[in-house]
Amino acid sequence: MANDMKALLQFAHDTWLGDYTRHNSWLFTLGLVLHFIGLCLLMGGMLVIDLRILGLAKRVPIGSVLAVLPVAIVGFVLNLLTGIMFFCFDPFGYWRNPAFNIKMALILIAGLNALWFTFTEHRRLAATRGGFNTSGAAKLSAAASLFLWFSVILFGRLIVAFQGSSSLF
Amino acid sequence: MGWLSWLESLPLSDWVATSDWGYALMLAIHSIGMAAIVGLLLVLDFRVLGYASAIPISAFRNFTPYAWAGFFLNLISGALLFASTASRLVNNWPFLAKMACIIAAGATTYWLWRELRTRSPSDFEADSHSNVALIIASPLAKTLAVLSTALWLSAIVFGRLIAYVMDHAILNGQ
Repeated sequence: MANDMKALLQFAHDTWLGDYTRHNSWLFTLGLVLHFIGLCLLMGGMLVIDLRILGLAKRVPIGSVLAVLPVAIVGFVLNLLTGIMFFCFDPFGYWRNPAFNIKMALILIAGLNALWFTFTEHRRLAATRGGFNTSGAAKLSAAASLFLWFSVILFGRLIVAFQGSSSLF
Repeated sequence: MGWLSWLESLPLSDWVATSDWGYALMLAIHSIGMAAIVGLLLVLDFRVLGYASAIPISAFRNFTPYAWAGFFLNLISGALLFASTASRLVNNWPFLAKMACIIAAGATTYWLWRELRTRSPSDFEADSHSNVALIIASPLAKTLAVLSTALWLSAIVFGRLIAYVMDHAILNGQ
């Protein structure tokens, strides 16, 4: 492991948050409960939006369905915050866990996909309030979004099973 | 409790309990199903309460097959998880509380859906939303939506606590 990385992980480990969570295990338990509720909010919002883009409930204008986006964003932020807490609890353990490595890579790709959608399709679709049709590119992005986020859940759930394995890096 | 041991001795239960990936895979599927059913029902509840009101409530009938898919995914993975650890789960209080919450949550969601359909039956017919598509839900529907949200979230909370009460999980710390 590179020294820079080691220093970064040590920094996360030594933060007040990491220290506090290691000494108060109920906080980790509470964090996991919130992480599961957050993933429901994220997936509920994404399912409604992505399935509509893929052609479900065609009578509803896309602009109306995009109003559900804040539900997904709240879920994502909740999971980002609780996720940072889990990471600071045991940075070295997570970093060398292959399931965690894959989960982070998938979140990165899902995030880039969401950014692409936001800056190209979202603006156009939100501007045409009566918009009912979506482009092929938007459909591909929506399908990728569902596949990626469900894969994030899969690999997130495998983290415990992979405890003690060696890192992919 | 003879039937519990019998359930645990079935080849499939044994595979879930003792193979390298069986248990982890079932838990992963269970989380994916949860995301679909609870996620979609939470959005429905929020909509009934007045959020994102530009979406006709009846449009949610298009999403019901996906919520059902999540439910059956969890019924199957949940049944296998139960069969693999039956004798430890029947006395596990978070497990029993979770089952009670799911039954109550399911009944509440059914009642809510029936209330929505009765209020505006034409919106829920085969192909199109009428011009008066259901925009504002009744006070009863709103009450049921709050109850539904509380019960589904409680099911998640109790579900998370199951492992802490099972002895092997306590040793693992998770």
